[in-house]
Amino acid sequence: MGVPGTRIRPGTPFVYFTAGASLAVRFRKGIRVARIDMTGMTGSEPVEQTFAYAPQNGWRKWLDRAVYGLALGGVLLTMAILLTIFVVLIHGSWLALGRIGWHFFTTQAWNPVPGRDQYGVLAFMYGTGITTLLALVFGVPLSLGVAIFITRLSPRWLAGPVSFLVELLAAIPSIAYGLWGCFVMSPWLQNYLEPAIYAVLRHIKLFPVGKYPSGRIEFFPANLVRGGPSGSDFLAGGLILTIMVLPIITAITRDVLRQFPAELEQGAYGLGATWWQTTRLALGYCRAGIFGAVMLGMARAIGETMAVIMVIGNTDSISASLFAGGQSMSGVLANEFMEADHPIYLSAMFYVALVLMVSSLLTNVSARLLLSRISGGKGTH
Amino acid sequence: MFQKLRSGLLAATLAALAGVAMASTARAVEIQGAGSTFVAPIMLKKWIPAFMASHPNIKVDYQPIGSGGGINGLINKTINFCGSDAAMTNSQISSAGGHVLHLPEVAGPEVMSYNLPMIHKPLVMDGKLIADIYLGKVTRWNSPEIAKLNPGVKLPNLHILVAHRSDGSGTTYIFTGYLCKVSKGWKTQVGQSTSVQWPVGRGGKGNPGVAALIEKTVGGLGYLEYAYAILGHFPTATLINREGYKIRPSIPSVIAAQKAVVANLPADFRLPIINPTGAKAYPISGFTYLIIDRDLGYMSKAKAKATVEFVHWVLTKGQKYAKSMQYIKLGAKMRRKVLAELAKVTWKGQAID
Amino acid sequence: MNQTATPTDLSNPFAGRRPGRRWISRGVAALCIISTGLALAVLFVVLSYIGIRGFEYITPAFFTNLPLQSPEGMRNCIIGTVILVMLASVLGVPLGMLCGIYLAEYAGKSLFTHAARLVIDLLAGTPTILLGVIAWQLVVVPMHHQSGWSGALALAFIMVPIIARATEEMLRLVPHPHREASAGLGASQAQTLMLVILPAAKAGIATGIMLAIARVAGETAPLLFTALGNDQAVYDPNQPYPSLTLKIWQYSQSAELSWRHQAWTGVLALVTLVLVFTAAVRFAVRDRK
Repeated sequence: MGVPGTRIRPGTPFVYFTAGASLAVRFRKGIRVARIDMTGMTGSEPVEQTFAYAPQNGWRKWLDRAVYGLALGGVLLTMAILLTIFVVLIHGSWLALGRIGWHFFTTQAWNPVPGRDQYGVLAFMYGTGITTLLALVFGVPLSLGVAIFITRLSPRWLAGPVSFLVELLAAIPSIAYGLWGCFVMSPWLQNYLEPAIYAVLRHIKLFPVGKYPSGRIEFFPANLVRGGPSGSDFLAGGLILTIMVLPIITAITRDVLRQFPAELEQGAYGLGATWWQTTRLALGYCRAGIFGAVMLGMARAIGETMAVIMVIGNTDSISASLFAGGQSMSGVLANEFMEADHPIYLSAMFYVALVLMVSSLLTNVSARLLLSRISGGKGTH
Repeated sequence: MFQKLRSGLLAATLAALAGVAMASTARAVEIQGAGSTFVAPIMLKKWIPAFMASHPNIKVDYQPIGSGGGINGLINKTINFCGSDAAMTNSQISSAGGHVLHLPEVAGPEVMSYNLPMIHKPLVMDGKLIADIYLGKVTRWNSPEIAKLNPGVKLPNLHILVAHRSDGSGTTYIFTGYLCKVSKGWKTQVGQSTSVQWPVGRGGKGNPGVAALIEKTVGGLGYLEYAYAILGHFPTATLINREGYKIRPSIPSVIAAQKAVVANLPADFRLPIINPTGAKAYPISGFTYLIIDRDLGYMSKAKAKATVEFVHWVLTKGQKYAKSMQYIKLGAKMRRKVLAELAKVTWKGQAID
Repeated sequence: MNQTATPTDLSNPFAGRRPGRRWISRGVAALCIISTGLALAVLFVVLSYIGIRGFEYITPAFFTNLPLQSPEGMRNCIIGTVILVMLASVLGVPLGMLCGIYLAEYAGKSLFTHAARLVIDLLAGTPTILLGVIAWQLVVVPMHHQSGWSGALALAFIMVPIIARATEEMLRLVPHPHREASAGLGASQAQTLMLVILPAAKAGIATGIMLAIARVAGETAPLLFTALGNDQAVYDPNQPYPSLTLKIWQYSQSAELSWRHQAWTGVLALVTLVLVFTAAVRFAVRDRK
């Protein structure tokens, strides 16, 4: 990290801002780098404990025990929070789990009219899934481009500011993106971008897709732009999420790309590889970490609420059309949780929350597994 | 720096906590309402500021989260009063403890608003057409069904971008009730409720959300409370009523509709004004209610008193603000009935003043 | 990469002179530069819209008046957000720091440590709206009404994992010789922690705390069912609580033009609050020249 740092105090670490707001700390002996930044994602090299403290007695012993107990208590309490989340969600959805069970995943009808009471999460899973997919389709190439630019193209003086600015995208609250998306992006999409896409794609018939009305999935041919430009649709949801996953994927990809060994890079150049061939080598070498970064971005997209409900159109449909309105799992919670006025309705809301929790959990676990593989130092090439 | 920052933060936290403690010992009684967005313009702009100006010891807060949320708040006893355009269903009333009072405060029409800048004359629609649009059978503005009702109007070749409510709403309850009356297909396929499974369209949160959807999409169509259409300067459709007349939404046409219904009004006022008879009656309108528990024992006596005082004020002095905000105030006879109903409220069995 | 390599070049995957590979290389580099430009352009466009629209409608009344006064303002919402975040910090900061301390200083390579670390990561990845649902169930339901406490609890849940990870990272960065020297002087582990390690890491921990604060100040979803919002100057956490983000959300969905303008000003205030806090992180660390 070649950026000149500020010496803080004799005997204490040097603290540098390296890339963006990331914090790297350099000590007299060797460099250790950690990141804590606006994306909320951290990572550092593991440290080995190599010695033991002398046994204590008297008040020091009690102090030791007290501090240890407090710290352990904190961890247990935090673990209890996660446990509580599951207990509350399962307890809340118990009624629906019994009465609806697996049908929840096979029906897209969502009809909370008392007496009719049809509940299916399919439309919301589809909404979450399609917007997340769009965010990754747009966001991953973009993020990789930015990360490659920062690590392998940019002059040194530019890398820091660019990193900082991209991370700044993560610091902007989602309600701000929502407001901008709702009043600026959405009209722009409706008036400029979507008519252009519509003109190109309107005649292309796609595979048959489902659309209710009766709670069953029915099939008829449609295309990607059925319904015409509206600005409040899956495309808008995907685009707003693209902006939100961009800083996370960029920051982590940038960090893993930095781990590409200099020997390999120099070796590749030495064999006459072009810049891009070397970069591809680096991308391949770091692929587990990059997958991890993508998964973390995905987790962010799955959990995002406010920005999405302000642009996605808030209606429970399944349609292959990018221009169709939809609803996400978090969106239906935000819109309807407070209105669930009879027990099965409320229980179905908890069921949606449970499904959302499990999907985000699975994504996060796989991301952490992929990322720990590289931070564990095992080669992945 | 860190030290300074830390001590600063600490001091600020302590100050905040002290402030919090002081605030909780303050004299003012705070009452909380939530629900209907239909009534929000007059509630937030006129009633609460005017009431608080004359009652400095009472703080009233109203969160327009949708009638569904308000009713749910009443069921769970999280609020002191609920604003709703939908009367509560029998099952809702029993989960709320069995005894609630529906107190109509004002009435208003529901209008079909649209965003077609190229059309300068109000479009004409009838119930069947609206139902077909909301069922997804009519999808373009220049389709023959619309052209038939609007001879001579040059209709644009645009998609109809249908807007509806995404939250549970009394406005939806009244609207879907109307569609059930005029369309068999709607009745069998969708039904009437505060939130239904929409065959087509996009959802907006609250009346304002629907208004925003209409405003930002050319070709948009949605149902709105009248005050919101006026507020957003949206054109409104002329509707064909039960007896075949073309009726504009207006205060006289809603009063005509009310007249047709009030005679049959049940004792608890739970009746929407949809598809009434009468040559001059506008087909879709409704009362909006303040709903409170008959016995306010779940809150402190001071709050119960404040709640009743506020409701009483809305039903009496508050009525004069109705006209300027495009609502229709209660008739004198109706108001007497409603005040008699309010007098039945108790607190743990005791009468409240 | 080596499809075009001739048999004699097998040892060198790059030796195949695929025609135009330098052009491909330049093309990809150009694409990377374009992506970067696009990302920065998005940031610029979003921030400038917020800045321009927000400034256009800003008035002194915005900071001094309540939402239902005329002209309307968001004084109570700004104060409400600040107090909510403070209340959340009272719970979230100590708990997060304790977790970080445990993981950095006491945790061995046991299964428990792995589980704890995973739990904290998962908590960090939990959709925030779910934390609102949990706080609703834990506080709003027993209390029978929405309140500032429930909102603060939901926000505290969000803070804990962020602060825990930041604390852990920063403690782990303190070089081992510090601990060895302290132990060598006969200090106990607790003394070492409090007198040597925490002071050495405090700038970093403060950074983490401030980032966590900036993060929760901008949260809306967990407050929807918990804090609910309030139009009065009510700061008693037993009552429904005013919050800047909730007000922006409510006004953004409003048909009234003056309210939408207020939403833009509100977002400007919020983004300024958050970005100033984030930027302050840099100065807090740099200040000590």
